[in-house]
Amino acid sequence: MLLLPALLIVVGFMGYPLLYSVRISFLNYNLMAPNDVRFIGFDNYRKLFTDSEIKYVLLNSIKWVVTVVFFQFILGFILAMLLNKKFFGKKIYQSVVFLPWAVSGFLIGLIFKWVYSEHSGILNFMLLKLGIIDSPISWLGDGKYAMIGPITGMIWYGIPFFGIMILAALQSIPTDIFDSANIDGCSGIQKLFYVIIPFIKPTIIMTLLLRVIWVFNSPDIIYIMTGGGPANASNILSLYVFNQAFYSLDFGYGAAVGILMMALLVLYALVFLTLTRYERSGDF
Amino acid sequence: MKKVNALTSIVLVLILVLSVFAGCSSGGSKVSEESTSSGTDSGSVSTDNNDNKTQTQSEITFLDTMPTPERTELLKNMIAKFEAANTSVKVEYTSVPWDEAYKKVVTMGASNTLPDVVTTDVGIMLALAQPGYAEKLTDKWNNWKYKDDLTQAAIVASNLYTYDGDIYVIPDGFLLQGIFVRTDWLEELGIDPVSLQNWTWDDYFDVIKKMTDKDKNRYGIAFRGGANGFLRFYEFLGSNLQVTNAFPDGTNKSILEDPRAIDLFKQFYGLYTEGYAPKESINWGFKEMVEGFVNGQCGTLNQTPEVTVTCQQNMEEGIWTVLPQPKTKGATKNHMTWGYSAGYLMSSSSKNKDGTWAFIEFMSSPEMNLEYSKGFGCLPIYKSCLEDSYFQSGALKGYADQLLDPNIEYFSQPTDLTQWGYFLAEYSKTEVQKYMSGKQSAEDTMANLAQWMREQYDKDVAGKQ
Repeated sequence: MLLLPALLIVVGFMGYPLLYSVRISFLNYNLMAPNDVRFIGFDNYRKLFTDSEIKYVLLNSIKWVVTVVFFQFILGFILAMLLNKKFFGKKIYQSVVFLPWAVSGFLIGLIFKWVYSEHSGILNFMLLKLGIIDSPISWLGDGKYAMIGPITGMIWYGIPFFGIMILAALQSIPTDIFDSANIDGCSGIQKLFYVIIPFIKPTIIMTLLLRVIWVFNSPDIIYIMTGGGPANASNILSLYVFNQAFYSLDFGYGAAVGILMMALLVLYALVFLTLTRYERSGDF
Repeated sequence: MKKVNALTSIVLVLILVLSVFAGCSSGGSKVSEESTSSGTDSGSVSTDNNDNKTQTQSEITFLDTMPTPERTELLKNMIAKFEAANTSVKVEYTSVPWDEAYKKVVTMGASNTLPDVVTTDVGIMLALAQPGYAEKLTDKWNNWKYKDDLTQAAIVASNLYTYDGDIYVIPDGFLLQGIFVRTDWLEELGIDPVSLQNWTWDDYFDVIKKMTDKDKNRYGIAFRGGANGFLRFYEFLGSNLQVTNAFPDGTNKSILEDPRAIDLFKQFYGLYTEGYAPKESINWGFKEMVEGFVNGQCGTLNQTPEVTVTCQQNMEEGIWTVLPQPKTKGATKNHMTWGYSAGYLMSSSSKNKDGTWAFIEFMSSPEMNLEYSKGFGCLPIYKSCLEDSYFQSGALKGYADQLLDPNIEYFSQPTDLTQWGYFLAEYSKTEVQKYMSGKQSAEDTMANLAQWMREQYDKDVAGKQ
């Protein structure tokens, strides 16, 4: 009974829009032709699976998520380990390194766009001065490199998230466990793998799960830096849906791609939680 | 116990994913929230007032879709003058940033919260006219009291604002294309800018090639490879083929299928593929192009007159000017594309159409049009205004003379295709970028683009006949 209000909120604010999207995905629903809304069965889905760009964009999305989350996690973990000690000026240092998390994705996109700019960017300037390259590289205009800029921007953006979450978990490990590990003669590496990681496993699982979903759905940095171009070389599914739905105003098709995205994420979350044996890793 | 845990995880997963999607959709719902709030800010007032007090004090709502601080102030001043002259009508000003305008205005149309007057371009006009959200202004335009003073260009421009035989927008000014050039670079090359006043496309391409010097980090053209970049090729193609629209035969065969089109395509995009433009310009939109010219990386820029203000503010005096759009060699008519800034559209759901028309008429009068054009940096729609000394001097003269030319012919965009905006912003961008980056041949690219035009023509034009 006590769950009822929460349940109603979930159903009303999440369940309804979701079911509505499912409904729209079966309709010819284009804002340019509002008098021609009709049921068209699986046509939007058929269009989706015959869209030659989708495979390419999906592959980019996987590259994007895997690289970004991997580096964010590793670097965030290192950051948290470094901050889990007392040192002079720790508080100031901590606030500075957590700063990117408070900055808007669009602003980060602009900053990194400048960094990677072909002729006025600091990266090419440094590489040229150091003699590593002879002529400027078009980081954002060449399909081969177009993903590198947005990926580094996104990694930089998300490190503090892992840092904050893992640091909080690290601080919750009772010190006596370390004492007994010391008595047993554990090395630093052993402590990391046998004490620290098992202890913070629920946090690691939850943060990875959340972050993958967020990164998958975060096109803002790409939007600013390359707009998904050139020729979709840096496009990911969420940006592709946005562009398709809003420029063509074909919300039926947009909803169909949205449902595909959700299906992929649900599948991912179930597989991830099963593989990591989340329910056996203790409370979080 | 294990079962309960498994169940909890599944519920958790679902909630998680759902919450992310609810988060995602906030972008979309925000649009409608905003639109409703600005709609109620102003729209509801006019409804209340109009029932029985129209004559005493009525209120109309005005939405500007291209606000900048200067433009907002300019429009507010003009509104104040209108209110002083028409004490019975009060105008409520609202605005929405251009990048969000299309989505927002269309959503407002769909939710019946459209303000009485909206400033629109062709894209928004089409989105509103087709479903019947916009009022037909054909009769009013035909009986326009200042019609004799309108430039030939303005009269022809009304074709752009025509949907299904009816005019929906009163144009407010011209933002026709002109070629910004670095005069100091030209002088270094021994070319006198004055000699280029009547230049052809070949001269233009030649200048671009001569200006390029990669060792000095100089490129001949600020190329637009991103959204809407296809329009630059479209105008080049139309001018070279000497046609007035995209489907000259009246069938689904577009000018992209003309036998000459493929060579013109290779010639035009060759400017990029052969290295006369920075490599990263494959993604460039408006802002990046202007930056590329202003910061001294590119020697020419095909842009509209409001950019003169940016150049005046950011570049040394005397190192740049604007030349007219190049002409096709041997052409009898002077072709012009993309020649309008925007215009005023009346909502079909307006409760006070007389007051709204009085407002549009006032804003479009020669006196106000001159004030508006000077303030906004566009070119007026009246001959008398173009002859004003302000437009007959400096960089603006190149533009003004193009408009005063009676031998002007408009090359229109296929605005009957409802997805034309999507084509320019998204479809053609991706296809052409594939060619520019060497992933697809010119033949395949043109075939795909032509196929798209055929299908859309069959759906939107032939399908209705």
